[in-house]
Amino acid sequence: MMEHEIYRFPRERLDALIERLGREYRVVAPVIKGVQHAWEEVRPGTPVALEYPTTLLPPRQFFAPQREVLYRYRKGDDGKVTFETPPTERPVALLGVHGCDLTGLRVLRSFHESSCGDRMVTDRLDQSFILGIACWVPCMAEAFCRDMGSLENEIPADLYAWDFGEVLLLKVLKARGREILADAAPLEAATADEMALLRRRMRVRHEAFPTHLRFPPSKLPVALEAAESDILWDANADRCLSCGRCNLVCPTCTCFDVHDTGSLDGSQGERVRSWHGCQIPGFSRVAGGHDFRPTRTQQLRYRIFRKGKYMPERYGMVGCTGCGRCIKHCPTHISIRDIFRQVGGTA
Amino acid sequence: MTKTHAAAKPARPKAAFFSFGSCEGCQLQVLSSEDVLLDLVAAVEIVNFREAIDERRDDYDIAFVEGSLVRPEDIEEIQQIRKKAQILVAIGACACLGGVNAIRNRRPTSELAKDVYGGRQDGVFKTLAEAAPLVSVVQVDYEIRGCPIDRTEFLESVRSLLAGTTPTVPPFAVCVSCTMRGTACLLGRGIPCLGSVARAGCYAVCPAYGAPCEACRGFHDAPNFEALGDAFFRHEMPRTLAAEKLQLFNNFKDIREQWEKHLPSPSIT
Repeated sequence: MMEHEIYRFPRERLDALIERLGREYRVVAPVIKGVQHAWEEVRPGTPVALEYPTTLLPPRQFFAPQREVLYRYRKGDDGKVTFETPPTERPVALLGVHGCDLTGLRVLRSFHESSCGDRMVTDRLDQSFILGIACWVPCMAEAFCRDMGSLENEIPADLYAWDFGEVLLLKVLKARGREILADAAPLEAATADEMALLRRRMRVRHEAFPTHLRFPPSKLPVALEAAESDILWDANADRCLSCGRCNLVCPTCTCFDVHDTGSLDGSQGERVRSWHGCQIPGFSRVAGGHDFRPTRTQQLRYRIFRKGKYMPERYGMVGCTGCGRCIKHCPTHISIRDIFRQVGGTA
Repeated sequence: MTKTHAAAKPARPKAAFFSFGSCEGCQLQVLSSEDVLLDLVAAVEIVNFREAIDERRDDYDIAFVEGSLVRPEDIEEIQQIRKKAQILVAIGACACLGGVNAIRNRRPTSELAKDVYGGRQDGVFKTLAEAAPLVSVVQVDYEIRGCPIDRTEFLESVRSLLAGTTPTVPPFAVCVSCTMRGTACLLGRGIPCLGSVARAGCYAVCPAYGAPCEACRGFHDAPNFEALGDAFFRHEMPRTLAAEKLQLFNNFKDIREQWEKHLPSPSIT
């Protein structure tokens, strides 16, 4: 850790940082919204919650938006049709991203850098600014970030924070991080005492995070393959409502649907891409009405296989970050963690 | 549901609106689309719309029908409409599902009439033994669901009909829209919400304002009623409560049949 640049940052300077970022970015951070925390646009003075249970919707919403107009068309009086793409929005700055969601952004990139990826997403990732934050304790009971190796992850943050109350210690991971930080507060190296405290806290931090899996995530593809015909898929599918929440809250889901809308006279309209998912009815229905994955068991198994086997095999990263969202937000508490645990037993 | 493709359409098709047993709130939704009403009447010629115009013609191409069939003469009337219209669109929960009118279906009409009108039953109109959705009597080409219908969805369906494409109803759960809106799960907070079995298309407006979903659009393509019962139970609500709530909009026998065998009998009928 010593070789890194670590600066002390008084919490009271947070507004200055938001102000500085706001000049170039749409600044987004967790804030309390009703009974939960959500990613919302913030300004200096907005109460930002750096200590928060993971949000319902993951940060991927800022890189692959829920609803995105791909292009608009308009038929002129002369009958000629013109197309236009919507103007590019300001790049986004995310403040206070947990290790799991940082990992989620890495997985998102690994997918979008593959042959089936979309440059619009990687461009947005490239242009963004990210302040990661270390978690001291599991943010919710469903989290298993330690098992999935995302607890320790700091990539792709520009700056990475450890929260010590009045003072945050900030590690510079990219030159851009230093530049922004220097504008928001005088660069002040962490004191020897602060560094000692940080080392001590980091040495014991993992003790606060219980382990749930008895094997490393790299074993998942083999373990899942061995369990392909296990009864556990039926048992879980019986509980599944096909509501699709697990897909929508997942930081690594990438699937979408495309549809057209327009004016009544057909003179103008738009083509829209919006989130879809493998657990959502209609997803695997194709032309002619054929459904290539019709049963709940197949659908549920596909989701788990996608995260634990297909994604690492195709894109090089396990598709589950251990954030715990799909477990927490499942109305019948279907748990990918329990399933991983079970298949680990059979491997 | 969708049974045929839209017939070849004239440049400016004639449309008519009809209502059976209903509050006519769905037609009000159409009328309250002020910002696009002029576009609408430019795109279709409205020849019959009791709630909006005096004219009554029956040379329509498209019939939008609200309400469930509740009186004996409704049967004849809907059959006539079916004969005249090239495209018949059921609008709203009453027309598509039977809706709230079908709550009465589980009890004998005489008993209900006594409850409502007491001793004075002279002059009470004749009723069918069961309030019924249109599809139980005639072929329905398209459905626009909801109580009331959603304006955006109505206009989108009209646009599809005019463009000669198939209007679609979302095949998925209200939970999809709810989650995308960022609404905290009501069921997860012990509020008896039916969104996980209910068909979307409403932008999950009720849960967004704290009101649990009543499944006014019927069910999505893969409802799991046993799991719904489990979810209620898990969140400290009896399974019978799920069944009781499902009766509000989904009590017509063909629809009730879908959930009844998966849940314990409701204690309130």
